[in-house]
Amino acid sequence: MKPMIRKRKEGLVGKIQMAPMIDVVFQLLIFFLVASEVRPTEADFKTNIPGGIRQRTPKVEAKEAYRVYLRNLDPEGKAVEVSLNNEVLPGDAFKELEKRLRSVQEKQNMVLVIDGAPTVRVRFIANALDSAVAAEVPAIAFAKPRT
Amino acid sequence: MRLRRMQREDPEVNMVPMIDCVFQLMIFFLIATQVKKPDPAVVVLPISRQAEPLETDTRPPIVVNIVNPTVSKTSRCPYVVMGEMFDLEGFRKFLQERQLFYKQKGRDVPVLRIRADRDSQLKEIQEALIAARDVGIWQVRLTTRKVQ
Repeated sequence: MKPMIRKRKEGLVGKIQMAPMIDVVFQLLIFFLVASEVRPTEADFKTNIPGGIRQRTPKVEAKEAYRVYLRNLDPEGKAVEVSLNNEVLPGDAFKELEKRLRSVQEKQNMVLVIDGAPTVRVRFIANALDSAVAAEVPAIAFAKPRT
Repeated sequence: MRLRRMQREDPEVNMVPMIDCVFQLMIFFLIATQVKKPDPAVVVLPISRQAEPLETDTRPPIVVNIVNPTVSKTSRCPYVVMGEMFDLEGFRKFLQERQLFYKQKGRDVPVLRIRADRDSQLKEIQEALIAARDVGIWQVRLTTRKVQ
């Protein structure tokens, strides 16, 4: 009788194939990297409507109104001239505007009315608003459109 | 003398840390990404330094986008509200409908938030303001892109 030799079973080592998963994950990662966009931070300027500042502030007429007027310097509207109470501001006009508004002593009764040629671009309006807020002007309004 | 052959090990790259990182990034993008509907009109906001962060009121404002008039597709309808494009008359009608809606609910019309393209014109803002005033909106916000 032959002696019984017990053959040891070779244990199969289970291996997970990682390559397809990594492929898929990379595909997704690249998709999101390409498709995502960083959302810019938005912020507001609080202003009032001409002739109707009745809810939180008294009427413009009751206040000391300062009028900023913007006018295009070229047909494409790439540059503007800025005036404060009919005086054209020199140099960096928006910095000068801020300086002049800062120098106003009594600001409680002050209202800044933003006016301009109809074709003035909004970017310059934002600059004027920036100057006004930096100078701590308490009330800002837009002028009525000229008809 | 017989020398024993040294057993050579196959070099293996350890993939685990890389997979960890990739998964972290994946999960971040999956959570942080919002699927956005394509805008009918793109608005590039003007830059500002002094504007205040957006208010998180319980009453959401009426948001109107004013697009660049030089974009031919939108030159006649510069006002875009909730993905719909309006000319001035259409925008007026829209505001009147909103006014009626809030009146029926016994509430004031909320604040108007104007998201105007940096290359749009002052007259479009002014006309929107007049339309807003006519329906009883007195407070407006001009939205900008904040830079430090």
